[in-house]
Amino acid sequence: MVAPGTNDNVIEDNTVLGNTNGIILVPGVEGNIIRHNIVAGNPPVQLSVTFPADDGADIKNLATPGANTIDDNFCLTEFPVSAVSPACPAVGRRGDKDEKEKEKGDDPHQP
Amino acid sequence: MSRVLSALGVTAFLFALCAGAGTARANEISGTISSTLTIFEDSELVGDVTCTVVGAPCIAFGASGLKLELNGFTITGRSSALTPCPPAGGEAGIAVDNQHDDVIKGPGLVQQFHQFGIRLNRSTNTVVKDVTLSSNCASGIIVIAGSDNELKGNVSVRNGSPLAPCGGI
Repeated sequence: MVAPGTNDNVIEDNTVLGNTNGIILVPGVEGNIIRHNIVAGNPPVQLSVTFPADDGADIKNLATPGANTIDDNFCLTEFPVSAVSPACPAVGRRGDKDEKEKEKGDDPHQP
Repeated sequence: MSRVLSALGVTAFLFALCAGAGTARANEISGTISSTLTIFEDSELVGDVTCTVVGAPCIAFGASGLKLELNGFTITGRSSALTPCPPAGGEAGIAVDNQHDDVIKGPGLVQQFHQFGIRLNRSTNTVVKDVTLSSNCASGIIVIAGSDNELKGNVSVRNGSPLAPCGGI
């Protein structure tokens, strides 16, 4: 996502593998929802060897912390690493969080 | 007698006109595209597409509220999947610029474009669903200054360049 004003988009149930970055949020974007995606192997190992200065990650979130919802993805690396609520690593099945909340009677998708 | 035949002819013509108006045929796409193909009606791939367009999108949406169905076919750009590919401005497999409520529906593969597989630029309420993006030199799918778009069920593999802040999505 590039340029401020890229807001309120939904990125859901995608599989994102072996790219220079997996899912990238640039500074200034907000209100986007990134959930239930499989995002792994970004960047591929050879890229990290050839370009060691590259700081690619499965989820690269350069937006203001908390400005977007990044929730319940399968991912291994993030940049920068959030000290408060890290999105990765997360290796549960996608939807696990929803199921647990349903069991508690707190379905996040129900009004 | 001639008046009766004439009246029947006019009636048949009007019937055919009305029937045709309700069943507008989708634009069918396949083969080689050498200059940007802009679609103004619902369209679908009926075969693989090879794009030789330089510095511009291969397929562009020319209106809002349209659907492009890939039907399991492949759209291939000018780059090679086996050699490094620095991004080149303007090239994309599919571009939705300044539109709303368009749909790009897979399954289908968009690969080997010098910049983006799919570019949503200042567009809103666009849906990209079940498309595979591979070996594009900047991003598989990029959303630029647009809102309320939905990217769902896509597979984005091996896209990007270490020279640009891009990647899968």
